[in-house]
Amino acid sequence: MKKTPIGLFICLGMIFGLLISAPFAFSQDEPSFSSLSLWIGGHYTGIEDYHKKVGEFDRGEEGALPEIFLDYSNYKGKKTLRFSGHFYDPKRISVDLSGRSKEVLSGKISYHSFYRQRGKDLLNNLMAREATDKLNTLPGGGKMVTSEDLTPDADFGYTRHQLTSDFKIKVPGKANLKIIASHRSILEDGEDQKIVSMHCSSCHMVSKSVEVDRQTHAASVGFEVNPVEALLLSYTGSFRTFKSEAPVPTAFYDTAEHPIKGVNLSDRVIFGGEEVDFGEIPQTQKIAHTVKLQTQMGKSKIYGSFTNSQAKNISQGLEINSNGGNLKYVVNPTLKTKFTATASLKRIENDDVEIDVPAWRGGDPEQFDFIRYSSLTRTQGEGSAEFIYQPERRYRVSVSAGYEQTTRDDYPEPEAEGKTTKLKMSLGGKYRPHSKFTGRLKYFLEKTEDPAPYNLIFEESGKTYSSPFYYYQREELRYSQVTNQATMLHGVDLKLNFKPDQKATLSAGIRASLETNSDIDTLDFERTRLQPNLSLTLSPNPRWNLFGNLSYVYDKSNGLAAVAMMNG
Amino acid sequence: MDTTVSGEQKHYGSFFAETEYQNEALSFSANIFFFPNEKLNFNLSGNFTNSKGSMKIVEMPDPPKEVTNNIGTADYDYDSINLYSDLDYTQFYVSFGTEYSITKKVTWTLDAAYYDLTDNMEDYQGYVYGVETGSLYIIKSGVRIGF
Repeated sequence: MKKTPIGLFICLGMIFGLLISAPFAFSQDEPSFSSLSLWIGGHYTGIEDYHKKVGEFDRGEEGALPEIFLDYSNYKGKKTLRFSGHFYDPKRISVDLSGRSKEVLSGKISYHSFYRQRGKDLLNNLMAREATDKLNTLPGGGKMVTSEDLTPDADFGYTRHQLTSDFKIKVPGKANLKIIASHRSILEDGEDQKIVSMHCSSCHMVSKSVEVDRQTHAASVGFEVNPVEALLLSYTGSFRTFKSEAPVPTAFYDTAEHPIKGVNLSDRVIFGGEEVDFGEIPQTQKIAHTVKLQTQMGKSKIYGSFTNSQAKNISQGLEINSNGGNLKYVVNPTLKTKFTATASLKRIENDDVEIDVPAWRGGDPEQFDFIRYSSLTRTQGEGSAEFIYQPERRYRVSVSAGYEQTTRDDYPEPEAEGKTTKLKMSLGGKYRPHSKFTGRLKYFLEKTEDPAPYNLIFEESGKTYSSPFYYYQREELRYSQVTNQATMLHGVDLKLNFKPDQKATLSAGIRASLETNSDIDTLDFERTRLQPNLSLTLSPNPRWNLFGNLSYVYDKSNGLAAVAMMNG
Repeated sequence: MDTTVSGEQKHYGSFFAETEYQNEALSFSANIFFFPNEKLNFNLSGNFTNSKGSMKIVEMPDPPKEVTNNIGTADYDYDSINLYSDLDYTQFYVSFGTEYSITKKVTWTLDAAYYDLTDNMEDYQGYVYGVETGSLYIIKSGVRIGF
């Protein structure tokens, strides 16, 4: 029997209910209004053919079930209390309790659950064997792909339970100090598919069923304070942890031997012929501190924030640390103009990972230990400015420009400090000749230098190693760069809104962009995106309301397909 | 011990060719609400989405004779690999609901919803999960009591 947080919810609900309802019990002078609504009924679910996709978030069981919904509200002056609960089926339940006691205490706690059905990879396409003659009349060779399903009747899916709580307290006697606390727990339990890939004697894919028992808990506390009228300061500290309580799955890895000749190939694999742990989910946690500032000086407003965060992979002893700050300055020099400037700087450091591979082929001098340097270790800086001019009520124009720079410490090679820079510009306008029509048009451009392409992506044609050669030597034949990141982007965004009277509204728009990159030898990259949309709202009389929306998305890009040519 | 990849080996690099990938999604949704009188109301909602993905045929260059002579069992035909990227789903959803106030505090409700997904690539028997065509309907009714 799986543990569910419903018991925890009831405990928290009772505490919260007491906190909220206490002021009701002791203040008899104000009139109260309450309403209670109870819905009792049931539903029948029918299923035809494959239901795991169309009913991904349904329990997936055919038949009738009772259903109940309860809603209770109570209002007394500035105090409110509301409870709602809904039982749809044993795996979809929701309960919400919220309240406000004057302006001192407000809070909400809720529990929601649902079931998610998961499809099953049938591994149907993973079955092939090399031919040994052109007409395929002779028995196949030793290179093959096979697949196996150890749990053909498994029904994959998991139930997700989410428990959240959110409280705000104004400190008595400190009118400008507010304390905020929130919490969220997500528990997932069920069954999922894992596929084990074994290599060497043949490519053998094995499907297994594994237990799901994932737990995420997050909590944050903080405060907001107005020490003076034009200054708002806040601090939030947050903590999040994730772990899996399910046992680490194991699989028997095939004994490495040639499937035809029976030659022992165990010196080519790290393990074989034994039960091995696989697919272990690491335990992680994250701690973050955020400080925010908001102030006003004359016609200017300044917003600032700084965040320090530390994320840990506890299972592997790895860390990602980041520090980042943002500043935003907004000023209205005149009644017709507005100027906004932003700046941000962020530093992310991700631990390098030492990969320790056992001695190759029982002590061959070739060693494959390496350090995985992370391209996530980087410094990011951004700055932008926008100017808006509205000479009269009918129209408005805006112009903006921005610059971003990302420096990756270890890209494209260790300590290389490769830079990607991006220049952004936009021009926009709004035209509203009268209350029945509004039109908005924006043109935007992004120019990127060195958008971090993938290096050494395929093998060089015409270069060969004399026989014999080894798989690892193919790495030395790799060359070229490929990317789907553009160096130039042009785009337009058009929005039109017609409102002939209070009974009808018609909106139409299109967003289009063209991205290109001609800096790569092997490909002139091009991507086209179009997103037109049309919506209509009609309310011909108080008895009828109609809403309709039509949208289309078109996305086309080019790329390379590459295959290696080798007779081995 | 045989330490080569297998037998006499030779490597001829990669062949590559340019191709294109395209996504399209058409979506339409509508809601109608009708309140004929204070006791009765109706609502009708629908949503239709057609999502497609496709890859242009890959036209690889002809392999050199050195390759075809040495690797004679391969057919070097890449005309069908793009088909694995062909996706075409149609999703359809329609729901109907009505409420009738029997008294000021008692209301009868009736709702029906139908969800359908059609995997238009049935000829290929599905690449991963099999053919995903299926439908689901839910009929729901009850009484709401106000206290």
